[in-house]
Amino acid sequence: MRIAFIGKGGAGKSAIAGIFCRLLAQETGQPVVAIDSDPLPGLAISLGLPTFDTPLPPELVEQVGDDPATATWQLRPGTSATAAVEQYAPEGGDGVRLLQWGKLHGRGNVQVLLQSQEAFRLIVNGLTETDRHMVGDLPGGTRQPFFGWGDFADVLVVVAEATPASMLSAKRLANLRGRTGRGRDQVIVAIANKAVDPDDGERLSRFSGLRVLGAVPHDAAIGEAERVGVSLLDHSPAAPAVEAVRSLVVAMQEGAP
Amino acid sequence: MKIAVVGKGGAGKTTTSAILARTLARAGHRVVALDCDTNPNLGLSLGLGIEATEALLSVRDAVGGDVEHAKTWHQIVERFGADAPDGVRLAMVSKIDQPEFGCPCCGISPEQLLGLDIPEGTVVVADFEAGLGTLTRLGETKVDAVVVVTDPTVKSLEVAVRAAGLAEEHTSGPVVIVANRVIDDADRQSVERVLLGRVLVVVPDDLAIPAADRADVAPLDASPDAPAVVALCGLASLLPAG
Repeated sequence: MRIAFIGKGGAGKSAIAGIFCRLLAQETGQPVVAIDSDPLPGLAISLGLPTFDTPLPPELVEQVGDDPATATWQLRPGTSATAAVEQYAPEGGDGVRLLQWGKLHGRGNVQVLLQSQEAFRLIVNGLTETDRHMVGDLPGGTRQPFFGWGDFADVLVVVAEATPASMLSAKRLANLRGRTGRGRDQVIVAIANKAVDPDDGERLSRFSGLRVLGAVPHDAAIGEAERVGVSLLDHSPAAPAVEAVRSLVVAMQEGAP
Repeated sequence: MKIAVVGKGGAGKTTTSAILARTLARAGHRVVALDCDTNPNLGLSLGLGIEATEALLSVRDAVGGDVEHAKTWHQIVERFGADAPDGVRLAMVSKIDQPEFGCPCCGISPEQLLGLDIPEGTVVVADFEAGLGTLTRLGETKVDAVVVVTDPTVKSLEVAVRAAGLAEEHTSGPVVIVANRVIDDADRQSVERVLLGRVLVVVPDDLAIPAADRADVAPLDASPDAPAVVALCGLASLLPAG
């Protein structure tokens, strides 16, 4: 399964992506790679990892070609995408590996950052050649998801609340579909998050025109876990939101989109 | 007078910006509320409604090709603006149908726009895109105050700490922290602990805000006496214009 979560900032992408990854690992017993291309912290905590920032070492890549204008990057010979994940992507709850986009912390060395980010792209590309489950947490808003971050995903899942701002974002994302490198062969669906009304999913679907796969209820346990900075699965494994995401995992495994 | 409102996505930047803009307008200032987000929603929080907000966006998105570009402050505010309640003028900076920075039609980005001279006496409340991007790209541009909005979650506070640090490089004026969705003393303390010694506006967790959002009404109109709305109205008095 290769999916990526998108949506308005604060809609709950990271929270849901983190739970989804861990439940997918539990349900299938297969390796899952969580891909965090959001330049802000988020997915690490939702997975149960203490660290915020684990950029890839720049030595993972080397330049091909002598002319800097046309040179490209490749993973260092002998380094496979899966080996890089085993070595450099920290292991969160349920064995989920977290692959992180190198972050701009202060004003670091630009070349180091560039190489680290090339390594990220090459590993993500390489992983699509394997049978690993890939679950992405893409940057919030409507602009960033279409910079190429989500091309690995077969399915884009819009996370939205049934509020005008969140539903407008979902509608805009639906309209922007097809602007990725993948174009229109990528499926886009939605889930209603922080649902307080049984009609929230229906409202979201009607407004955005997107097929809504399910609803995750408003759950105070999420706010509690995020205040402490731990994974909801470690804080309240029986929370209603966890069960809702589990249903989503099962539905997606059965080929829901 | 330029005031930037920054923070993590979902922290409450847009709600804060809207209430701040309307409070300053009610106090007699000429206020331009500048939606710098590429996913613009400030119109909703100001009370313009979902249709007018989308219509304004279409004006923006329709510009392209041979259409003459709007390059000055005045042109942008006139052409891509709408009148919002209390006399606030709302203007949209970005175009969303292309995943590029700023506006591809006139090439102007939020950070460039904030670098332009604005008319004397105008107060600009700029609702930034989530995260730190616009703040890091401000370059030499200075604003007169920065409002950092955060809730008491670890993720939001991490962004707020970085934003507050960056904000100090881009303003000689105050950096005010809005601690949003505060439930209890523990919440307040977790914000105080990581943002030690900064000016704090504590906004209690208040169901009136999501209820107003869901009803597509500005919180200031739906529940002017709700504790969160009252607390946010108090923000203006901590800023130079207030």
